[in-house]
Amino acid sequence: MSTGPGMRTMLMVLVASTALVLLAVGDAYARGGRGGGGGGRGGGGFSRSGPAAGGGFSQRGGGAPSSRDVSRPAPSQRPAASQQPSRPSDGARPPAGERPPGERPPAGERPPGERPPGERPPAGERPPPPPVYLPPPPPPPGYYHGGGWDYYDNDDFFVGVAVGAVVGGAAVAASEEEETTTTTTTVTSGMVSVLPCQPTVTNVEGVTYYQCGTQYYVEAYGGSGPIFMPVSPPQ
Amino acid sequence: MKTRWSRWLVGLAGAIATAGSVSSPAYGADAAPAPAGAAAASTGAKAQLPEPQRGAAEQLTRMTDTLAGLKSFSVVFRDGYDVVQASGQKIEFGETRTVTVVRPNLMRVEEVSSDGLRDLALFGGHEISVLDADANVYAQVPQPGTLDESLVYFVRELRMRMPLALLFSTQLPEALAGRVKTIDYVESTDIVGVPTHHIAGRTDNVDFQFWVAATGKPLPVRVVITYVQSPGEPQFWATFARWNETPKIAADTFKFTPPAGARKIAFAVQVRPGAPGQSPAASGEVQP
Repeated sequence: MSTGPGMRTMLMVLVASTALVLLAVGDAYARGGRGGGGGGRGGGGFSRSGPAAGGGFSQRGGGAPSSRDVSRPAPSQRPAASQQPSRPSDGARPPAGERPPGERPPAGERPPGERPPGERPPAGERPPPPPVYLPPPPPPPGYYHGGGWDYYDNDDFFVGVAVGAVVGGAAVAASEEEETTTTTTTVTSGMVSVLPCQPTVTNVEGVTYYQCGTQYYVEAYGGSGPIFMPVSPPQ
Repeated sequence: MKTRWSRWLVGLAGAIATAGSVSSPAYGADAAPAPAGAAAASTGAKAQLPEPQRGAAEQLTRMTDTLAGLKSFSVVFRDGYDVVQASGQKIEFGETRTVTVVRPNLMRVEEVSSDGLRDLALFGGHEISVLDADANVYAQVPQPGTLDESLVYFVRELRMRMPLALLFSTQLPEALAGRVKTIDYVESTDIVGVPTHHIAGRTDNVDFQFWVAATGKPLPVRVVITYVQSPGEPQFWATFARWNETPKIAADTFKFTPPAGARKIAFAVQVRPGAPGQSPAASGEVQP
């Protein structure tokens, strides 16, 4: 049986197409065969936290982020200059009446001698910076014997919101908790298990700071292991 | 079998108390008195509890009272838990934990997680110490008192993870009685390797199942907790092995000695956080 040029062409196209499909499938398996592309130790990009991770006998909310699940940012998620709050690059600020709340007015619009809220006072007037470390939380008296069931349930108080509540009492910016309605993953904003850069390490008054860009971190023991927490710059 | 699960809502305060009033040769001298509150709540409930529920409550009471009554013990449990990913995919992680307890105030928990990392939590009587052996960092705080108090402090104030912490507290019987809304006897089974009573219960927000040893001390052999109010209804499970009421306690079992080169860090709750992604300018520390 002879094959004409047309048939040969069709066969070549078929073989080439099959090869491309196989290559694509093989590549997909290769990429997908390591736990979602991350591979190796640490979850391969999968979140390790959720309500069931706590193993509690009741449930109140989100999960308990561990040292390995607070945040393992992909490169695209890592803090970068472009992700900082930006202002118009051409110097075109909105008119004063349209300025977002909190934005500084131009110097010429400020009443003389009046500092805008939040503006740093001159060095001589500055209060000392707050300490980075706080004493351990005291055990509130009397609450241990009141049934106590909820207290054992590590469902909703490993997360950053609880951290903020403890250290600050009021709303603390770093205690923002982002929890989607479709997943049990709880990401405590700003806390990372792996620093997003090769940090500059400095020691100020006994505290070791890890600096990535303009962000400073200190290492601390989170729900089930060490994490890096964003802190204010050392003074 | 499911046909034996006639749903019968009852506050387990009554159920537990009912069970507590039922004499049990298997439990014998280890039986602890039922909580006073539970006993009061049992009035009326005893007569109302159908036999399967009464049997389940009885087994559960035996188990919790036995656990709470142990002066010392060690146990190894392997656990696993679902984590529902953003995609909806359910992934299981887990760990093996070796727990040694000497009441009233000593506890050692060694953990090897499913990714191979090793942790230690030590309640040494005067201090609570945690160690991440792989990162070689540790943290310490004063221990507030008894193990019951320290577990609460560890989980609630220090925000640390301690799966099944309630099982290691002497408050377990009262806590259980106050929470469980339904209880059922599923079946007698040896599917877990030894003869057990399979018990299923519900609280307001979780379903739980215990497999309680049917011979010897009524200790848990397996537990499954389902978080029914969470998307995907993830589960936590644990299988217990090697219960030992007379564990060998070495001189350093409850003594924390930092490994060579280990760095001491603070607990996260001790750190005053700055805003995430915060630049000095954004924090107001430096003028832009």
